[in-house]
Amino acid sequence: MKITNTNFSLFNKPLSKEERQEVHSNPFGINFKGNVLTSDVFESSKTKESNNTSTNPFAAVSGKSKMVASAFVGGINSFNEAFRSRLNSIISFGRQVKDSIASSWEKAKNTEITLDFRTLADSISSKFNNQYSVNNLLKQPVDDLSTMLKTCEADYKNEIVKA
Amino acid sequence: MKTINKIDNIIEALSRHEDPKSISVLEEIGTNSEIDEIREKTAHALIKKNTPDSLKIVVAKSGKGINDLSARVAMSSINEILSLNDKTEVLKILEETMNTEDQKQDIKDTARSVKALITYSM
Repeated sequence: MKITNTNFSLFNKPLSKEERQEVHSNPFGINFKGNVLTSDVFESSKTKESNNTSTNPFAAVSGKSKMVASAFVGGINSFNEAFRSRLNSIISFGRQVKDSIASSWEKAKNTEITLDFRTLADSISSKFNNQYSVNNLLKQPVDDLSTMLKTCEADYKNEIVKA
Repeated sequence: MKTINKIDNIIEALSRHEDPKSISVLEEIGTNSEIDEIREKTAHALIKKNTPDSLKIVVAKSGKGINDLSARVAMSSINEILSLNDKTEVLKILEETMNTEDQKQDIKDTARSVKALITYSM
């Protein structure tokens, strides 16, 4: 068998514009948003008649493909609607954020901030100015440290006895 | 602040204090304390001072520092001596302790052992 004698083509060449128009009976154009509709969306009266009369079992299949195509077009429409509604919700959310920022800025402008530095300084110094920190103990005379060590030793002894 | 932390800080301050009286305070209160923990901390402070007077207390005095009756305090003092960066002063004191005639034999033996440890660790 020769390869040149084969009737089928290995590669489907793309259809010309005229050819496409012949295949599709859609009067409103075969392109929908850039997508080529591969099957007729609209049922012709001819085929309807032939379907009624014919006993061809594949007729039902071609009818199904039309349904699928129309569902596809419907799907595109519903997608657009969903996209538009989501876009609207994003825009409204952005507006809400903008409004809330504006209102909080107004609130901040009208708020008076006061800092009680005295209380703050006292609380900080009470935390860091510990009498028993090594730095503070180094500033004290040895006699004072001796007394403190004796007192603490006695306290620790009592703690051990109690425990 | 917990009492033991206060004691810790006082001993630390005494070990860093420049007044020579700090050594006698550490010896009188710290090394004579009934509590092992305080004796241990005091021995560390005296070794950290790394002066002849402070080292003599922990090396040559009975029941203090490396001669403490508590094995924990004695071993901890030896470890502290071994971790000193400058051991020249402690080696001198150990040598003196070993060669002092009126020194107790057990103190001399301990000093000899610690000196041998330092020599091997160097």
